[in-house]
Amino acid sequence: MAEQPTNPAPHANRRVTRSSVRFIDAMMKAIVTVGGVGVIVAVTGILLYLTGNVLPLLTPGVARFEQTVKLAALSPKTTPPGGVGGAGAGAAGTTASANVHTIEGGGSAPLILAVDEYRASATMLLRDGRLLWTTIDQTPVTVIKPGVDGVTGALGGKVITSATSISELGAFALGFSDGTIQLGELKYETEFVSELPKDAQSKKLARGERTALIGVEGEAGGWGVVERTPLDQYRVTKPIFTLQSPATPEWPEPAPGASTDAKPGKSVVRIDYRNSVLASYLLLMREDGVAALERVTFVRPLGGGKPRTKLESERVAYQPRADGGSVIPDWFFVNGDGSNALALWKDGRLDRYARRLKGGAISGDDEGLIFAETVQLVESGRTITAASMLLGARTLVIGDDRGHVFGCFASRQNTSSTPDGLKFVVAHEFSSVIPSPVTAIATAGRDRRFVAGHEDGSLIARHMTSHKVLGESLPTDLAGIDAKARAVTVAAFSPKMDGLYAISTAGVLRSYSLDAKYADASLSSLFTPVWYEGDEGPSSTWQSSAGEDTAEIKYSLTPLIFGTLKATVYAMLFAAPIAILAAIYTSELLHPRVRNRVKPIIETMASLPSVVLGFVAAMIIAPLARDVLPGVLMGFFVVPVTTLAAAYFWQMIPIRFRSGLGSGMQLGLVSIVTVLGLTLAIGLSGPLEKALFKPSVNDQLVLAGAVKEVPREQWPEGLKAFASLSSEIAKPYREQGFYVAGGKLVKPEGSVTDPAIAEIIRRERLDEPSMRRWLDGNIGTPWAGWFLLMVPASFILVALVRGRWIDPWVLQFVPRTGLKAALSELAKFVLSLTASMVLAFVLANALVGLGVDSRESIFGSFSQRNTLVVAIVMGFAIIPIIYTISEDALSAVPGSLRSASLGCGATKWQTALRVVLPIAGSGIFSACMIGLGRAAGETMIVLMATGNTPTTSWNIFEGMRTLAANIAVELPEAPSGETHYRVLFMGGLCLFVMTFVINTVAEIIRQRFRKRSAAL
Amino acid sequence: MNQSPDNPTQTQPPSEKSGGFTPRVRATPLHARGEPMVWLTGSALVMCLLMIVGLLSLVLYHGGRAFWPGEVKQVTFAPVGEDGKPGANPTVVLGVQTEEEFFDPGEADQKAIAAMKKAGTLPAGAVDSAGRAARKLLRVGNRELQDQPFLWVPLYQIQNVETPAEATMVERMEWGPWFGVPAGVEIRQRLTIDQPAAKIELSLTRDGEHGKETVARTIVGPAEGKPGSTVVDEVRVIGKDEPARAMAVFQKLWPEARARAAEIERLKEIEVGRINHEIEAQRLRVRQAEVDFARAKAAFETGAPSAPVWMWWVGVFAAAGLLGAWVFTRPKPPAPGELLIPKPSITALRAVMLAGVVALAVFAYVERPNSLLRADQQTVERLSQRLESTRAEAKTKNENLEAKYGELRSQTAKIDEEDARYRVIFREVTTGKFAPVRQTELGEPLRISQVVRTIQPNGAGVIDKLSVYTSRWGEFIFGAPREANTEGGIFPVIIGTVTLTLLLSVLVMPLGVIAAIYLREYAKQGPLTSAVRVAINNLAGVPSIVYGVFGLGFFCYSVGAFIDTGSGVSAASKVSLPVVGSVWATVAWWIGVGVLLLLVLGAVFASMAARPRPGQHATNSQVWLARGAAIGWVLCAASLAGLVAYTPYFNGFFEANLPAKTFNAKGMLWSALTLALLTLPVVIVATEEAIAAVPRTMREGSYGCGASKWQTIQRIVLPRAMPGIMTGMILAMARGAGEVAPLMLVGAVKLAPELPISSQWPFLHLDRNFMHLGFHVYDVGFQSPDSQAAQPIVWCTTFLLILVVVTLNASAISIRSSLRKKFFGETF
Repeated sequence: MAEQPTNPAPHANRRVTRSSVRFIDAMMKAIVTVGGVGVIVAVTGILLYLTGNVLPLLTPGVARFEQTVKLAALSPKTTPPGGVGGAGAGAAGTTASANVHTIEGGGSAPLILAVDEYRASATMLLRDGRLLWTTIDQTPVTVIKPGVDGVTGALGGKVITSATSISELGAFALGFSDGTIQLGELKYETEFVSELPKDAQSKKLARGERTALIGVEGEAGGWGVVERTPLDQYRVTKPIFTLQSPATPEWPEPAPGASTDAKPGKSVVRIDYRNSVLASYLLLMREDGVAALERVTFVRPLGGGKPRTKLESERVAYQPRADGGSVIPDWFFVNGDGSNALALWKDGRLDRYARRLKGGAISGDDEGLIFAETVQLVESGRTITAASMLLGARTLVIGDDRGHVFGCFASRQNTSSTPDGLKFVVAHEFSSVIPSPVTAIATAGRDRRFVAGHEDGSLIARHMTSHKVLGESLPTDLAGIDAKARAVTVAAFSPKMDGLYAISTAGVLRSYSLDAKYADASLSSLFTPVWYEGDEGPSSTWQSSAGEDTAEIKYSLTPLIFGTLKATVYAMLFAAPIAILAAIYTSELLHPRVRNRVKPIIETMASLPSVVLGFVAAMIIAPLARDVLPGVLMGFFVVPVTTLAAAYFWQMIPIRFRSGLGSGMQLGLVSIVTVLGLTLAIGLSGPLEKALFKPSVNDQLVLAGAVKEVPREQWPEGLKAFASLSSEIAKPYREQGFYVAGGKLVKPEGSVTDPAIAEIIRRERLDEPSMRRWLDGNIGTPWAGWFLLMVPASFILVALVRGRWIDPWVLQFVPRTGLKAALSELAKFVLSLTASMVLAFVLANALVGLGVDSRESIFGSFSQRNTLVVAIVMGFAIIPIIYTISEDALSAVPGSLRSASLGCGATKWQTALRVVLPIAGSGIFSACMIGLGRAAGETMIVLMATGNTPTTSWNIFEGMRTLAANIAVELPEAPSGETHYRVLFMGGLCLFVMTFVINTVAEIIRQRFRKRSAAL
Repeated sequence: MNQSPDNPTQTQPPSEKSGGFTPRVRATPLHARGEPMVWLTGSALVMCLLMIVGLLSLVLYHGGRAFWPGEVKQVTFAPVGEDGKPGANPTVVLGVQTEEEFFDPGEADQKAIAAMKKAGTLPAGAVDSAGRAARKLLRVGNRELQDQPFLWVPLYQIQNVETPAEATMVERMEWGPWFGVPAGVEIRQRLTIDQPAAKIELSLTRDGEHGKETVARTIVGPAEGKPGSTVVDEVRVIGKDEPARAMAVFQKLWPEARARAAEIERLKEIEVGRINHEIEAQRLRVRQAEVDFARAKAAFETGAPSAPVWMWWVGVFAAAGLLGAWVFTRPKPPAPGELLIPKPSITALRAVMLAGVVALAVFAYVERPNSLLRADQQTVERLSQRLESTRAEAKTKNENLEAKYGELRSQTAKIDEEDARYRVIFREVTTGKFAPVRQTELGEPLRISQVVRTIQPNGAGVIDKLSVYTSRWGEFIFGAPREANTEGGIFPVIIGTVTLTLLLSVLVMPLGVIAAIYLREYAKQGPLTSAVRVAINNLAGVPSIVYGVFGLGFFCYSVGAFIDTGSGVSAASKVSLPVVGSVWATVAWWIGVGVLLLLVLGAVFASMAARPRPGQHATNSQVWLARGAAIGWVLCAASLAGLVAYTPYFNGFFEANLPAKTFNAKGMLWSALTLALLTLPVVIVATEEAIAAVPRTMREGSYGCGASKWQTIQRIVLPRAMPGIMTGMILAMARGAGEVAPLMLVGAVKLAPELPISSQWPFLHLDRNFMHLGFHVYDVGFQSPDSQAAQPIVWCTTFLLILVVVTLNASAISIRSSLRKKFFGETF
């Protein structure tokens, strides 16, 4: 519209427009413009908003340097002589455990570093048994306090020879030179008081201000930090150090093969402690190479008093290295559930000790941990310089001398011959930009993040699953630290994981605030396969919640996108042909009067709420499809073939009887035939099942349990590598008579005529043909499925061949009109039908010969709420859309073209096929695209008609989980702003972008088509 | 619809009709007709029609059948012994058969069937040809006594099926239906008899107002003040073991009992609800006063900034002066013949003045001397006093309310006591246990008022059944849900859906129409406009769940949080008041206001300067200026939104309600807005089409007559386009009414405690959750603990939903087709 104001030309005696009219005009223009632009912007703003919510997921975290605290007690010069090491430490030179590592020749690193929840102070347990407490968020105030021995700080004969701590629990374990161990806790306690404690140095605190609280030992104040809260209370945070009474572990007899020349000694040189709700484990190693796994319980004496540490010893069949390496491993770890012990040496060798697997379960008998395997974790020439266990203590994090970090765990492997069927693998590799050796690794207590400290003092925090960098230190942070003593000896996360701490060899504590953003998801973990803990290999899995806190959360959108595609593809396969054919019929062959009645009915179909469709799908269609499954499948083939056959017979009636038929009557006739076809398909269900899915005698015998186990030496070659068998693996050998039952390879034995077996077969109805049992893979061969799949395909193939080559050839010999023509047409149809059956038979045999199982692709095990049901019902939802738009496109083809074609003597069908369709083709394509977009975003049908399991198989008899259904299921429960919430937003964004692209393409094609048809 | 006329089959040689002349016509070859392919396409259409007709009739059948009372059967069955003879000690149950199917019999079933076959006692139809056995699903109710309200009974175990006329299905308020036989009505009373305790007969039979009755008495004690009299509790049982008479008496007493129950319900729901509402309002007032006081005190202590009072006066005077100048510089009305175009410079100056006035007014309002935000001594004291007075006022009011509440409670208790006197006994057939008043008191019979309706379908005529049927539909439509939505009605669901749909159409209508008018009438047609058009078309295809995600994130969590708690500080920290924004936040905000003013000025000037002189084309620089102005306006809008979002002077409308959430959660408003957004493309597209269909000639005629643009739109275009707009609107309503996925995220709930509309201010409660037909189908059908029992409700809800949506759509389609006819009739 032109924006020229309607100004009157400057003529005399012109009446001027009333100012109120002008005003209203201008105002309405402003309102409409602002409103219109506003609405358009708001609507398109959705995309921006979704993106804005998703972007934080993709940004790396940031660690901000806060300050350094010089700890004099830790600097190399002031290390008390004899405090570190002792007899035991000489053996390996390091004391390795979760959070503790000493650089050789360096200063004294604290054994344990704990930071309070508010990141105000840090407490360290020193090697001589004293405690060091310091504030870290203000001017440092440092106090040293007697620790383990309680009074002097000198351990009185005892020397700490090993230590370990669990960062999330504040629990730790110490091993001593006299062979005893001691458990304890270093925790923080917070209390709110209304009065400022008298020990606080300063009496005046502003709101939010903190100060160190130094009290005299034993008095109410104690040590800690006090802060005035906005509510005018005082929050006092104090470290609480508790020690259990010492305990002496029972040591098992050294293994028979153990080298006897090891120095007899008592000191505990390796200790590892795991504490979970179910049980606590302590893994110990004595300096002579004897290892023990202790189950820890605390027994409160009857008379009250301090609980006693009770240790129940379990054997660890530790075998010292035979290749000349040191007897004592450099690191020694136990799994969270006590099922694995890992002995790790610096050169990358790892010996794994595990419980034996018996009958599919890990045995709990007294065999204890036995040797499972030896793995070389890093290539030779490299040295492991730091190691720690990740949250849940199943993944081992190691760092090497080139700055690389690896995540390793025991994974399920079919071919593994270890006692527990697992294999230790390096699953994650973090190649570092910092070439300096990793000197310390710390893990967090609440998620799967870890931080690696390097020799040059740099720190880098990452997340194991997402590989995301959560924070890095800058070289400038190290200013003021002696360049040679920058190596990180101890690192730690704060309890809320919002802070990062590192102590360098020089005894300097650096503190960082950590803004990790959304650590557990990254672009790569969302869209590419990730090797999840314990899995066989990298996979794309969606598992947004887990039973326990330590389990790995798996955010991979790939299975959801796959599910969306699967639902869409199958629905389109069902809907598009029906809708397009129906549109052609309506537009080209139906009388307008009938058409005007039919079209609104189908448009009504578009308006049915999808929740109704989903409900009907789940309540009526799913059980129906289950009961007459072969019939439903046959329907896709039988109905069209019946219709075609009926038409061929119809042609035999002379034309003068046929031509009087109105289009309504014709439709009625076709309806009868269609209903007949449907009935036929359902009726064929039983015979078809009987013909194709009958269990063989062998199948019956195996199902009835009449089998004999095959000894391992007689196994087929391909199976010998497997430690444990599943029926999946053994399926190809079924032809040879091998079956898998109860984890064993068996051959059927006996005869179905044996009365006992016959009784079982009769009772369990094992001899009945059943497609569902066939789908589960329990009976039959892949042939039946291939045959079913090949029949329609070869029919189409034969029809194409016929139309291209055979028909023109045959036409030379037969008359073109009359009964003879009709008969020849019919004969051709019957022949081509037979030919396609034969072709399908041949193809199916060929595919079986190639060893491809149809039950691993489109077919597979059956569940009632499956993709077939979704395809049919979602087809229901998109048919009207495709139909309406296609019909519009066909109707938009100018009538003059039709008239011309008909005038030249073409039949209606020829006109439709050769004149109208080519012009309307792009419109029909765009209709399909729009239908596709609708199917991709459909929520309720999928939600109600499938099991919503996120799988990635094309099996049509299994459900799937689509992006939309996933959002509907999980978003209401997801806490706002967290990773899960944002990942779901990411799913929404994917959906938006997918449909937006599809629709835009469709729209552009449609507009082109409109222009073209308008030009004609 | 420019379809070529249906040609008569041209294959027919015309000769036959035109007499003697026979031109040589080659007959159409058979294969050219493509008859088989024609049939195939026809078959596809038939499939479509079959699907839609099948689905509709399925829903119609299930929905129509669900409430029809079925026969109550008395089924006797027992496990069959090894000899194939019917088992001893059979179980007898009363129940309604809901399903019948064949199942794969287990080992025990097979043995029994084999034995029966041998013995020849297998009933006909118990086993099908494939060896599967038949079984019936009986709804046996009586949940207090057994775990399973539904029972599968294999046909071969059934020994006898009867339909006793007195078998009754009792629909109760709680615990689902009870199947039994009426066995008496109990009336309890306490009375004083002028006889000493020893003389009183403890059980007797006599004739009462309802006929013969047996009376059992318990002596309470001697009557006070009346020596020789005794207080006794009487239990009168009428029609004991006379089902017909018991039923008749029950029917007579039932309406009164229901009226009592309704009265109790009314008192509880409405009266007590009102009192609670007022008490809550008092609490909120006090809390708000506390919050204001605490914030002012905190601000005073920390020395938060506020402008001194003299500055405020300066601001007011400056604003007044500017306003005066604005009025003064008003252009004079033009002399006849003079161009009515004000000089750009003057107009710009006036615009600046107006902007200044507005800015100063805002400043003056925010920093007004008696504002709660001023951090001075007086304010703190004033607020402290206000807090005291509010507390005192609330206290007296609450005392009043408490008194009223106590009165209501005693009133309710009185009716309840009366109600407890009337009991009815429905005995189960096997054990003879009767329907208890509640599960914990199995010895006490059911109160009459707890019975929703009784049905004795066996032998009842069609009229009786029809009355039950209609009464069930009546309850379904006008009643409240019972038993976790599996029984009762869906009145709140209907109200929720209707409110939502109306609200949605009220929201979507103006927005959609304005956007369409802009696109068609005002926007410059070009590549940008067509891109926008494509985008809008696309948005119609964006999945509804995406709108739900957007609605949840943007409306519920972002805008809702702003409305509830204001800006800047998160809701969590607001719970522990007072929080005072930092000085710098306030200063930065005012700097932002200044920047906005500058932006507005710049944009105004740019817009003015970009206007070409009348009758001339815009120069190149003017075009660039216009673009700059447009960007400037966008920036203005963005910074205005930012300033509003981060204003330090706004602490939310529902601060007192914290930590309870008001708008920061799912609710009616957000659902309506989300659906409005979802249906906006539908309305825009339909309206645009309708506007485009108005012939250009009509517009030109209007302009030619001297009408202005808006006059043309208002009087010529819109009326002509109205039917099309209505079509879009109805389509939008239908889509909104049937949509469920986004509602699952932004508002619909299983069970809303209160209706979204009520008789209490503000009548329409936009913050409340609501129930929705579509969500109800999903929830009751799939999330219900007892989905079998819920089946009738789900099917009827589905039926209703389809009815609503299909009716809306059908009307839209008919409007559209009549419209098309009209336009085609005129344009050709």
